Amino acid sequence: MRIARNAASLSPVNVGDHVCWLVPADDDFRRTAYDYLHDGAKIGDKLMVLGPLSTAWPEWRPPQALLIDPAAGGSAWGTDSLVSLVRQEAETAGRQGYRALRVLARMDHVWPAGATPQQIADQELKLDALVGSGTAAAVVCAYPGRAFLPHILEQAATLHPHFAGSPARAPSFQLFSSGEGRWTVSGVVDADGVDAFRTAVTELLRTTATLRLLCHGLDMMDVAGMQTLAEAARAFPGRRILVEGCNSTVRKCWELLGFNDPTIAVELAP
Amino acid sequence: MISPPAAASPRTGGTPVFRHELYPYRGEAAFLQGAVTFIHDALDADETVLVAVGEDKRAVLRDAVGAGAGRERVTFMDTGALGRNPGRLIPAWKDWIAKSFGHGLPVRGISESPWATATPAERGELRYHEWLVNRTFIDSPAWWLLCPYDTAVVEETVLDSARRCHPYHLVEGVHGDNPHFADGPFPFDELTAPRDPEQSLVYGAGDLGEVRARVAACARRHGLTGPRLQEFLVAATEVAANSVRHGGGRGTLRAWVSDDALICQFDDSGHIRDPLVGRYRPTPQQIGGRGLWLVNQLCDLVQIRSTAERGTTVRLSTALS
Repeated sequence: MRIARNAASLSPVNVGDHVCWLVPADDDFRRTAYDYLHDGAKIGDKLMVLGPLSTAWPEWRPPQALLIDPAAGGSAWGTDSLVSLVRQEAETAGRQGYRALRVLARMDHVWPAGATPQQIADQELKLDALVGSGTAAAVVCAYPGRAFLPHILEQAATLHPHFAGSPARAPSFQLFSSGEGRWTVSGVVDADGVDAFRTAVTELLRTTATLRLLCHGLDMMDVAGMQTLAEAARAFPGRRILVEGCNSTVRKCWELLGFNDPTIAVELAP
Repeated sequence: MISPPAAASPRTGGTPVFRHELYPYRGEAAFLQGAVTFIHDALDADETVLVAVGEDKRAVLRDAVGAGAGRERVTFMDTGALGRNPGRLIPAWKDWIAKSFGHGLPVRGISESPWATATPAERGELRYHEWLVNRTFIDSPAWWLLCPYDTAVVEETVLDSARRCHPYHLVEGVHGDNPHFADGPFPFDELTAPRDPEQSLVYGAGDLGEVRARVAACARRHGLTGPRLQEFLVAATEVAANSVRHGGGRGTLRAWVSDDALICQFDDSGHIRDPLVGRYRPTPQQIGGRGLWLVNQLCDLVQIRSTAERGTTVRLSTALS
């Protein structure tokens, strides 16, 4: 079972990890990234770096390492491009005998012209579903703080089970894959983070008939979060949200607010 | 013998009105005389009666009413289940009378607040509740609410306030217009000065987690933990979020302990215009307007003071034991 993990720096990464690395402006990106890749090379991982060619490391060359610059070549890089690439290269790495694929993605190069919260959510949710489904891959998404607006960084950080960066920038909640159609929500969903939560739930409902939110690690959800669930369900007639494992306070508030109504396609299951 | 009302009543024709009536009495015998006659008059008129009084009064009134004809149309409400917060009384009465109207019967009610055991802060909010009752039910189907006040228990200031906010009264057995009624703004008590806060914080967008951390630190130091702390943190979050969204984008939190209660005060520059805010039960399809409702359900006392000139102060209290 995947559990949320937050650390001040890029701690040891394992297969199945999907890390949002919020890179501070003054951080030695190259040193930390080198350590991450070096650890992978030592244990037999195939390495894949998405970013500028200037970040090439001479120690590693094909076939063990791939360096891809999404901005090069002029071809369009859509929200599914990174997901498809990781899936394909993880399969290739397996066939080549590597333990796993180890990815470092510089997101300012994946999204050189910037991205909307919806684009970030679409990409990261799909990527997390892939990495969390048993794919032999570990993915670190490096988001330089200077390259993205704060709400984009917040959107990104909330959609990874693992976070590396300043504790002050750690997301208030994390939403990540726990299997087909099942998504874990941990932390606190409140008015400060509700825009990111709304975007994520909306993106998931686009493609999910029954969205199961596993909330055993959810400490608190305020009115804004609950209203978001109700409105999201209403926006997608015929689909429903099943909320499992929430604590007694969440359950009590839900009922006090009148959301336990048959017209609202959100059910709080035990 | 108690006379019928001189003015048009819910029962006697004319424009149907909500009749909010003060009944000052002294001692249990006088209480029973007024209340039992009121109930029997209602039953004689095929009306239904809702009784919301303290547990001791409930017992003697139940015995006094007896088991005669129409007794099944008298319902004794469990006001204890509502908790101490007067902010929950109006939605409860709306629910109770809606259910009675749904049965197609005219409604009378008897409501006596726990003046003897209320703290000064609670008494202030109970007085405000009485004032709000007129505004709440002015457009409702006609019904008649009798509010007994034991003059041996309540302070003269409370009784004065009650006289000003009840358009009708029952005095010496006669129902009639109350000459002291004044349909003006409610004269709020000034909130007591905050104690030296154990925690204080100027907060804005992105600070809700820190607000909770400060409140939780104060609460845990005084033994408040578990679900009751979690519920209080939800309430604090809602009020702080209102400051950010409606109160000028920022506010100030102060938290302290007084008289075995944890108190959190939130000040911002917003202005709440609706005197009934937090007292509307939300509908499932409603957009917004749920925060202060939830706060009222989760706290033992909520005090709101808001003017355009001075901004808004919301003070939340929860018992430590």
